[in-house]
Amino acid sequence: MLHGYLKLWGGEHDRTVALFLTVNLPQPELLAWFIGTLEFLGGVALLSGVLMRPFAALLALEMAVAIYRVRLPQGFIGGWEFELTLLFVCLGLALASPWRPAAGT
Amino acid sequence: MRHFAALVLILALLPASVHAADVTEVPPGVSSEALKAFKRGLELHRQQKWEAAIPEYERAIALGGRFPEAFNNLAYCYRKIGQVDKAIELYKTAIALRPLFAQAHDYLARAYLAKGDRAAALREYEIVRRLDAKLAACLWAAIQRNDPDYHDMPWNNS
Repeated sequence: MLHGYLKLWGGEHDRTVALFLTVNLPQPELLAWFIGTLEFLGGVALLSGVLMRPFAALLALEMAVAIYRVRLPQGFIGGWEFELTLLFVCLGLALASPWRPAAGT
Repeated sequence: MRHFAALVLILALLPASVHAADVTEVPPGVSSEALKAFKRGLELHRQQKWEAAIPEYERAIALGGRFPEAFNNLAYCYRKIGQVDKAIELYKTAIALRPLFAQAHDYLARAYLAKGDRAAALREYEIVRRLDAKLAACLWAAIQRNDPDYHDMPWNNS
């Protein structure tokens, strides 16, 4: 959520566009706004549980693209380890079954 | 008077305006041996001894692995001795390791300019202007003059 806030209102928009230009992503300006919005609303969704699974799936997709397009050349340690962790956390949330009480509780 | 003399001495001892990335802290994964080789390269770089600096930077890379400053400075040396294509590949490696490395983008634009590829230089300029306004103004002046080595902005002379 904080990363989304920084991209939308915290002065990180230009750096995000520069990053997207560097890795040749299409429509970098628009994409930067989209990713900022996704990260901000996605954070709210994960915290509140409202629309958590679709947002978690989108955030997992974002992490996969970040690893593939940006982080891979930087190696695992100090490179894509953190994004991989986030990817698995978001995948777990996206695929999680709705909570049901266990039998006997 | 003594202060004025000291100022004149300091100004006289300032090295020529040679642009090289320095490191103030050891980047993650870079050994102290690699950093020593990098510092030796940097010293030679500042003396504009490009061919002597190259093996030191290459040693730093061999010892230190993912070391964007070393790739950036090595690329600069290669451009200075006329090997622009090799410089471009090395700048791209520096940028792959640190995508928002403004100086590497700036120098990559200048390398493209040296090669006569103005369109590619302008693409890099679009990145630099989002990362560092002063660097971008200087790069823009270089592109306008079609002079890859143009650095003569007021803040570089102060």
